[in-house]
Amino acid sequence: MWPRFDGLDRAAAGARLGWQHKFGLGPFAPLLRLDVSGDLVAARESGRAGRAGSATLSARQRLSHWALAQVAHTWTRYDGRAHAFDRTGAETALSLTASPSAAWRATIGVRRWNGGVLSYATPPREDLIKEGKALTIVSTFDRADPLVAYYFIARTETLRLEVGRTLGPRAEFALGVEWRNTRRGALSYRNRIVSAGVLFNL
Amino acid sequence: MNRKISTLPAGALACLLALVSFAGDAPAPAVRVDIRDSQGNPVEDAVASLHPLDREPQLVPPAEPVSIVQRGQEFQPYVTPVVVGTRVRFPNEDSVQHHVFSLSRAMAFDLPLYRGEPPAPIAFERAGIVSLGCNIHDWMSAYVVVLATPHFGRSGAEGEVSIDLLPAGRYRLEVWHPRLREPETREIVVDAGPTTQVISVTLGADRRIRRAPDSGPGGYR
Repeated sequence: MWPRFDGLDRAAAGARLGWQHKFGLGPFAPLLRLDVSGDLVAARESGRAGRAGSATLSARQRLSHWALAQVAHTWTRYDGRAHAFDRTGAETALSLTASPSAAWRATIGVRRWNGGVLSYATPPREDLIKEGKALTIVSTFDRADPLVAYYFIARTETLRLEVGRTLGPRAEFALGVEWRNTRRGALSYRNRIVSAGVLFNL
Repeated sequence: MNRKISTLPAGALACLLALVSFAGDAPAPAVRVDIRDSQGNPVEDAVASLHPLDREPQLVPPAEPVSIVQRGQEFQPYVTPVVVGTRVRFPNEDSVQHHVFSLSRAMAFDLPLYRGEPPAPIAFERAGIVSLGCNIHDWMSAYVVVLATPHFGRSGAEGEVSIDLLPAGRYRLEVWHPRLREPETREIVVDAGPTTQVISVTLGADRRIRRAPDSGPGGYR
């Protein structure tokens, strides 16, 4: 659809193991959950393929029949076929969901990621060298001048708003918008992301 | 005894047969309750019950247990009226396990994770509203309405309940629904023939938990 970004296309298949404990009976009892996942990731650019693993500890508290609060902490690790695309880090997420009706929900969430970040830039970039390291030349984005992937450890803070509409008891359409700010020293990146998807539970 | 009947005059026997025939044709006392919301729409899953005021009702629970099935990760039916002493079974027809429980004062119980048929039915020995849930699937919700009267029914999509085979007398008509803050009550007199009671109720908000796919930990549900 967008040829410049075809190199970022990925598909993953894997498994997830979960354990959860509810501290009592009923929807208002707090819930603690541990999830461990592993995925094999295929990518159009072979160097980006690899193995992903994560462990998430999450807690959930329903505040009323229409309000739900969640907090989660996730450790992730990605081992790419090309080491330039390895990525490790941890993320803490907080979210509050309101369901004013059986059909609709709105969620506001904040997340903070501490870990590896890749930045693609045309050298020379002394500012990036100062904070991280140049790893590889990439041709992902069909640019006339080659781009260099710089890796550094940074903090990314995200605000996300999402609206969901049920499509029957097992499916939901979700539309979300995210504001992401990544900072490391003097470096600062802003991303604005709009996402849409359909979630289906078997 | 046989001799006495044989000595009845032919005219008296004819009168008796006529009387029996007349009683057989008379409409039996029955009450039809038509339950509407404030917009005039029929109210489904309401329970109408008639509580005798002039006598103690005879409470005979059914010999076989009543079933509330878990199917498609929902309880079916949503509302089940039963007489005090009724046993209820909770078969799980889903491929996933459920954990059925109630924290209600009228009947608190807990059936930890199971598939298929739980070990034994549960007897509901105390009148009141029993709210059911599944401790895994928060949206699953149902009610058992335990009644100290044998005269009751649940409304279907047309909002009607028919209660027949009633002894004549005074009754308290009570209408309950999960979205009613308090039951609607009124006193009625049942005599020969059917009567219709139209009950208008003001339903509160539907407080059921929204059902939606779980996007997993750290995601948004």
